[in-house]
Amino acid sequence: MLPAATYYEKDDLNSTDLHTFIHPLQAAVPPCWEAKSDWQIFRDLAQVTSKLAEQYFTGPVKDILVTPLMHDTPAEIAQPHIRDWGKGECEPIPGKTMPNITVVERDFRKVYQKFISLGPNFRNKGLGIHGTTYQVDDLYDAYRKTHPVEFWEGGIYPSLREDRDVCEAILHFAAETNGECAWRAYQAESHKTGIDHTHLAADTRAVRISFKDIVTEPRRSLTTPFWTGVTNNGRTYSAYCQNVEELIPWRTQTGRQHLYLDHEAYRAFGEHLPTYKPRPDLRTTRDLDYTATDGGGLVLNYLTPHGKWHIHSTFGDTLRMETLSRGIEPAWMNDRDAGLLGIQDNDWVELLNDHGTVVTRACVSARIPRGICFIYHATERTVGTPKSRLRGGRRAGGHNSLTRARLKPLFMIGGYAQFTYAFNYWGPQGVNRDTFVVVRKIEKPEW
Amino acid sequence: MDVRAHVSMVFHLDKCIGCHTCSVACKNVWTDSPGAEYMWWNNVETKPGTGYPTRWEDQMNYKGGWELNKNRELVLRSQSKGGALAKLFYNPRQPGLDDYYEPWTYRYQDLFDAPSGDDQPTAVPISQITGEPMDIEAGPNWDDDLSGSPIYAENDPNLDRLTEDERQMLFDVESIAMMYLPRICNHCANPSCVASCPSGALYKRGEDGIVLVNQEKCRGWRACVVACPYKKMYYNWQTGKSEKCILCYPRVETGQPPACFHSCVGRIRYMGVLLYDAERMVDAMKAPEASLVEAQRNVLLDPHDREVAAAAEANGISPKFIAAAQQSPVYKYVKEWQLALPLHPEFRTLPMLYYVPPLLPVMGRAGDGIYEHEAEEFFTHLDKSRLPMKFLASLFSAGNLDVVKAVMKKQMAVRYYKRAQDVDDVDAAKVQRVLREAHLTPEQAEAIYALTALAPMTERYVMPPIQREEALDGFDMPSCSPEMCKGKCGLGMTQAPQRGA
Ligand code: SF4
Repeated sequence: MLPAATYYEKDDLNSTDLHTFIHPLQAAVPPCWEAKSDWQIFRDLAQVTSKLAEQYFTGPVKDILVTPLMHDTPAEIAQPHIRDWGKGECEPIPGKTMPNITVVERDFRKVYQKFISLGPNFRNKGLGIHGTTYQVDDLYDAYRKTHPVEFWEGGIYPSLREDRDVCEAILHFAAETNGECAWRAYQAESHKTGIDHTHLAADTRAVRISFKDIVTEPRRSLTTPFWTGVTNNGRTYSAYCQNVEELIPWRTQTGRQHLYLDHEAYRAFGEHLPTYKPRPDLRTTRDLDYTATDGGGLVLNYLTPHGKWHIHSTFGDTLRMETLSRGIEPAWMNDRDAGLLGIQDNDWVELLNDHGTVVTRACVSARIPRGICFIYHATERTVGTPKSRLRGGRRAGGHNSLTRARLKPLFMIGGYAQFTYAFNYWGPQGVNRDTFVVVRKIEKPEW
Repeated sequence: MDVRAHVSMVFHLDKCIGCHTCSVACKNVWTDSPGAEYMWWNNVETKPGTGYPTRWEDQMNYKGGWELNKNRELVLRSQSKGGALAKLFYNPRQPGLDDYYEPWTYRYQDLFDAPSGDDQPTAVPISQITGEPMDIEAGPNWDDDLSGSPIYAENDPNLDRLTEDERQMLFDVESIAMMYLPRICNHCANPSCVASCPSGALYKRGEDGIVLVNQEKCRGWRACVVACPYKKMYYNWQTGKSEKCILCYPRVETGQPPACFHSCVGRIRYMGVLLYDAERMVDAMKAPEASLVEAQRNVLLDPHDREVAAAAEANGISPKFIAAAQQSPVYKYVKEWQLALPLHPEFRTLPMLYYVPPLLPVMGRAGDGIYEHEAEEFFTHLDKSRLPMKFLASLFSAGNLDVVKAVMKKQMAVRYYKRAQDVDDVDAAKVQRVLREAHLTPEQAEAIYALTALAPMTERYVMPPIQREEALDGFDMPSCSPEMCKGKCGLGMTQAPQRGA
């Protein structure tokens, strides 16, 4: 909702699991108009929130926090069966038959101060993921002496006020960029496996990568137990090297690589082994209950694959890339299907179903199988989107106007083995966007 | 022996992913100004397809390149009848805006100026030439990934050599195939553009063979636009001059690869020096079509040969340049391994950009998509390949099937050899046989693999140092005083261009 600065307008960090380099983003120019970096937007929101809270709260309040049953904790063996405590099928036990429930203290008047300060839990509880934790209290105390700090209510905290501060703090305490942290993490990991893995971090223990270092040149992340590859001595990252070479169990139910999922929901769904699922049929998906399928239209399965020249909405609608494609995100369809409707390449078409309507040009190609059409996702409607007759002359929709989110019951499985509720985490194959549309040829569109 | 040195290139098509990063890099650096909107010195085409400008390969229409007349003389196709003079003022073979495309943009201001209401505004497409709203009907990459295949891919001139059945098969969804063909100026050794220029504005740099347009001399006749069979000469309507790929010579002179090479995501591009014998050139240009590839290969000289190196030095080619020629990745691909082929050698311009034809589509058909391990059967799949050999031969060997097949066999043999090493499921004797049939030694297979799959930048671009002091000799300078020589290199542009000047 708020205008965020782009890559070249802010200081930030960038990494991915597709390579091992840590890249800086740097503000080459200030953000356009009123745009701010994401961090500054959140910081400003925190500031306003704190100010408002002064009016409504006189002190801290207690709050209940519900968290899912997590992988890498004892809860990963909590729910081998589907039992609903709401129906009396089992006892309601937090952390076992229901999510964890924690009472936390919140001080809304201090949201801003806390936002711009690192700690104190960070200092006292250590850092970790995947069930492996390392202590950073001494590093924290030292860091406080050499970096900007915040003073409030008698405490001194490393500052997180500016974008750069945040980048430095991340780089300083992450095992991937601080050799001491990597070494400590291996110590903790060794404790878990009973095998000494610290040799993996011995040679890089003194390495500290700062923001200035990665501005000079992107650096490779260090070898840590939070990843499974080994990057020492310039070795190419390859997944699972540590599991094989260090005998560290895979993070699965059996500790080995396994394909079979014995959870009863997966068995019921027929996905306990990797399996082929045919394309859904219209009677099941019911996307055209209220759409007239007669009148010169053709019913086609509709998909929205990744585009060739854009990552979601980013970069695809620059003039350069529009010029190298067709100036519009067209609907691809098979040549013989198109022939049935008298549609020629680059003709205008409308696609419609119960969810919405799209007006675009046809891209007719023998490359597309019959019975299917697709529009690459995901473009904005800022350029070249005509109006739609079916929407009473309002702007036609985008590719996702035709789709709807459809949840699959298997998404609900958690508290067992590697199934965990977490954002963008490991999960079953989705089916959320498969749908059907009616395609029709139209003459000139309205702008 | 008259030894000359030439900067030359190889594009390995098996590695091209069709990302067009090269095109964008080039466009941002060189053709980002008014008058040049429609130019793409580097473009990437989907094959089969009609490309950019559309059907550029069809010389029956465009009349580019050279042809042999009845007396077996090499003549420009564009000037063979009617004389050059008459065509100076009207040349119907000139590609027009419809053959390229009308550059467009969007009326972005509408997004800001739209009245408030319950509907969202959109920026409509407008012509970059007239500023008026327009229908976008063509672009520089309009048939990307077989877009509009019934209109474009099916009219690829290279399909003319196929039977009706073969064409049919090519467009069945189960067997459909495509490849990418990135194209820049080939910096030909026998450039028809240079020969066609009435003003003498086009020239090949003596030191490395890069073909350039002197912007001061160019008078905008556009004979070169017609004469270039690859349609890599462009007319700038703002300056009234012709422009073309300059192989990023300012980068090359400072040891950097050209922008398209440097940015190439697939790392398909190689650059190095070739030494050739100018004496043998004329005959090679006149060879019958079927033996053109062979004839052009024979013009190239072995830089390791002592006699060649001595002759080169006698001709004024510096020892550093000769050393670069000896490390040349292009020499390896083109001459030593005979894996890289010229694009449309029948245009007879001796292009200095060579292509390793793609093997991937071939494998798609082999044994239902699975590697075929019976050595007897192994090469027969070439005849059943998805992209028919005839199609590749039309592109890279003037129709000579044997030339393309020999390349394919080598590529398959290398894969077979590496598979035996990595997966260990092929009998050693079979591997030996396959290599033998492809005329490769294990050492060569290993070297091909390394240069194809592993080579870092320093092995892909082996460029000679610029000997600027030698280049400046040609400018009739009394001495090579740096002050006096300023602005004397390259395009020769020392003043702002003016239309018709
Ligand atoms: S950048 Fe390289 S891989 Fe990408 S299209 Fe160009 S030649 Fe192909």
